[in-house]
Amino acid sequence: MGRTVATFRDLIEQELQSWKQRFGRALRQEEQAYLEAMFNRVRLYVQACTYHFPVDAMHGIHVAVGLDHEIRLRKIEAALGINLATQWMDSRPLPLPAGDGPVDNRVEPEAPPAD
Amino acid sequence: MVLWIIESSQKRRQLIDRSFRPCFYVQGPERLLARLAEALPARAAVSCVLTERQNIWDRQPLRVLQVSAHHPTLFAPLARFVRRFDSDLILYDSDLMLAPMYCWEKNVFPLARVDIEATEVAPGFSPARAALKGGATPPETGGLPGEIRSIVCRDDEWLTDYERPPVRTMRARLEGLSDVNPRHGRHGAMEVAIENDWQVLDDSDEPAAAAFERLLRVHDPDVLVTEWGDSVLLPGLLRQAQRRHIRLPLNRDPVPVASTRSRSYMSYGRILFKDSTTTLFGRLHIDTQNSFGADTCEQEGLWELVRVTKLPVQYACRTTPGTGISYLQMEVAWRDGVLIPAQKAEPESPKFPDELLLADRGGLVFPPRLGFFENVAELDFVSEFPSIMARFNISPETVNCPCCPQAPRVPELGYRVCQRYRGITSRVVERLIHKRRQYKEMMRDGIRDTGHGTRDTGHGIRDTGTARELESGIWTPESGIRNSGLETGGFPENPHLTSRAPSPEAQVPSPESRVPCPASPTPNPVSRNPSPAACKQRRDVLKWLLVCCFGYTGYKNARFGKIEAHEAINALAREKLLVAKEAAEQRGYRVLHALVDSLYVQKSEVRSQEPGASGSASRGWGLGAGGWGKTLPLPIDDGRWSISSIGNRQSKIGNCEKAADREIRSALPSPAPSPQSLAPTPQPLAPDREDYERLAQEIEQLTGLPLALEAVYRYVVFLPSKQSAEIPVPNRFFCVSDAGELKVRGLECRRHDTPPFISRMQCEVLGILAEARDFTTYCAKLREAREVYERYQAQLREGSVAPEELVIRKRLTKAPSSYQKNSVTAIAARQLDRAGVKLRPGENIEFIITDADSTFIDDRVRAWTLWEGWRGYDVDAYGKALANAFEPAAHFGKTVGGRQ
Repeated sequence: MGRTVATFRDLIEQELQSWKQRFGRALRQEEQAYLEAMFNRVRLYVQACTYHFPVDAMHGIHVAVGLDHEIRLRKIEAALGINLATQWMDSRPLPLPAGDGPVDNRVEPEAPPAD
Repeated sequence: MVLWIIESSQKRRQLIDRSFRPCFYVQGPERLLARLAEALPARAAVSCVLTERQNIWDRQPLRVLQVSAHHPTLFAPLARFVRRFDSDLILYDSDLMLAPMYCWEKNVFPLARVDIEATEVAPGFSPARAALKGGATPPETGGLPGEIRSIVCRDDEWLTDYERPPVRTMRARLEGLSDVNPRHGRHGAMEVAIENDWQVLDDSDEPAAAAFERLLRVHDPDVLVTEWGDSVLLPGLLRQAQRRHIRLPLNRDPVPVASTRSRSYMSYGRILFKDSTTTLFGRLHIDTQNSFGADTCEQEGLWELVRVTKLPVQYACRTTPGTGISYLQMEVAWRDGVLIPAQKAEPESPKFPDELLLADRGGLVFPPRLGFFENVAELDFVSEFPSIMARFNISPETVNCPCCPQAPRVPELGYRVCQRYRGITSRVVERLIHKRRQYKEMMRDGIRDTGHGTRDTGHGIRDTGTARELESGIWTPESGIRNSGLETGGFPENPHLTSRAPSPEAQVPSPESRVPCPASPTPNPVSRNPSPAACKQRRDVLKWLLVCCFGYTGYKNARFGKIEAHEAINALAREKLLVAKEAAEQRGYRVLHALVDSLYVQKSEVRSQEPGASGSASRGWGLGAGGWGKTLPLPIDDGRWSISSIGNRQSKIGNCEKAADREIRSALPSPAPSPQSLAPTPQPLAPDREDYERLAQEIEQLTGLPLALEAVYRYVVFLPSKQSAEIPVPNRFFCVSDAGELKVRGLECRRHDTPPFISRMQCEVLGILAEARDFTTYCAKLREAREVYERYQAQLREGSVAPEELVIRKRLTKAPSSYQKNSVTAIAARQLDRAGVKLRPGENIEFIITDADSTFIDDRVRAWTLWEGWRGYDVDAYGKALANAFEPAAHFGKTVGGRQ
């Protein structure tokens, strides 16, 4: 007897290692740290994943990542005093970034930012 | 059975009870049983009779052969013979210890006050020796001298104000660090104390064995408390005595000293080491370095453990609480006439993979919000898992029982819980919970007798009652318990639990031979109220019993283990924690952290007057991620969430205060209106203890489990993982209660492998920070604390730190030669190995870091017992450790220092 099923914390780590192997290898070096940070942030919602415990752990991880993005987005909106939802309804095109991508144009932080 | 008693005249006497005939049961085909019944009496003094006993799992009667040994020493050989007689035979009650069986049969327990009627014994006569010489058969008339005719217990193991036995204690130890195993090479002379008068027994005048023998003869102690007595001290003394032909009677009984070998074993993925043991007869030997009970709960705890579990003292202090709880369960089973299987025979039920995924989960842990939070309350479910077992009748034999197909279901899992029979484990834990609560009340009220009378519960073991039983949901025949399952949702009415008296089926007739304890025992003529410290030690040992009781339901070797019971308890605990979380959030509290059975909640500083907009600016400087913003109200009230029904009930509870509260308040003078109370809305509501207590009461009503406001903290600092600064970990925080008490989890000072010097610095720093009341004063105190830290760093650089303050203790996970890498533990272990010290996996070793970066591996660390002064210590390595230990205090002070 005892525990047969791995804990969700262990599953997050297993999935991270599995995704780092191939998916992570094909990422640029500056992007790789974000992959790990994204998986690490799932730990903030680990109790919900544990309680729901989907058969495929990635289902729970996907929802947790989406939820985390949603929460942080709302916080950014609140901090900036904007409502992106109204902007989506605007028929005018969004301004294009000046460079090849948002990552290239920014000064890279030393570590992924905390909210 | 040989008994040692202390008479009221303080005289020690050895008596013998020949009436004890331990028995076990054999199940099998009738023809085999008949053959066995013929074969056994031909070989030994034994009585065999066919009888009926209950099977634990289905409560059905089983026809078994009762084998009674006429002499206790025959018990184990007879059981071995039956086991070899035929493999089709199943044995019950066959591997129990004789001492607890004797206690069950005679209704006594170790260290109890008893009335004994015995035959006279001449001075110097030993009944045990006479019995050994004269064989098992007593003379027809009169009996042997010192033979017990009757024994009556004048004590009650469930009393809280019992008298401790008037034992004479002798202490023995070796000079030097008490925590360092003397077998590792460094120890001084032997020291012995009677009544704290220590004297050194070195071999200069006379051999230590001779001096020890003289002390034993003069003082004749009942209890020998030693440090490393099991593996080093007593074996060493015996060896010396043998070598020098000194007579050293460590025992009072005329038998040799008993000893067992050391061993390493795995438990929960860790390798542990159990040292050898040396136990005495007629005298108690307690080795504080090889004793769980005596080490953690001291002697008061040990006496309590022994009284409750009825295990022999020397065995109880060397075993885990799990054995104690097993024997408590077995006693209840034995009194019920239930057969006790020799080995666990209940495998896990087959499950589909998705069922296994659902079932095989532990308690819920909400990762904490990171940061510094003021005015936080900790709400704790009191003994949550045992309370669940007691309240919901969760016991291995009651989960998915065959007798109740329509029984209530456990949330999430759908397991059924028996309604006809009260579970064995449930009955055991309710007594322990009750006694623990009595000690808590005694601690709280100072030295005071709670004055609760005793009564017979009808199960042969007396229980006591308080008015709080109903509130706490503890089952009693008089009160029954309310089933809060319907209130909490998903757990239907359980008639057994709600009935005021057990149903006829539930009342299992006790076998005639198992006479219950007297209904109204003679009260203890000499009672003594325990001190608060003693109450705490006794509470601690009961806590360990309760913790193990839950763990043992899922333990593979537990006789009364069943993984489904373990899973059901976890499922109910998850449910209750979620109900508590939802209730707190609905009332405008923010759940900062939740850890299986406790919640850390913070009340919002300003409560909005607008309906539905609960929660606003909270008083905390958190770095927490993922908090719900006030712009996103929880969709609780739209009826889609199962919690909605709870919410409706809560509003009712919230509007009506408890009658008791109203009474108390009406008795108090009404306070004068303060300037704040006259101010226009929104009102700043200072979070106070009363709010939190009300919340605790409301959650208690909702969950049906006792919930206590453990403390209101001035502030709590939740720290991140050492690996990632933005990821919280459940057990790394410190907090200061409103009374100024510090609570620390997961920091260096709580770890066993931290050098005392580092621990001391951290404790001192946290002690200074404990004087802070809010974040501003915290930052001010942090400057003061930093000075302390700098002082320690300076001491380290000066080289003025005592070497024993820098000793690091680590557990070996493998044999010294099996280490592949040159970790500090491996290097130190190899050094000891080379020095001739035999090390086993699981043992602790001590070392000092001498030069962590040395290219010569052996110079990096030095085993403590091999360390010489010229080697010094590594200032940089210990300096880094000091910095790491200071970091938690400064973590948020640095981050938000700009707010000052």
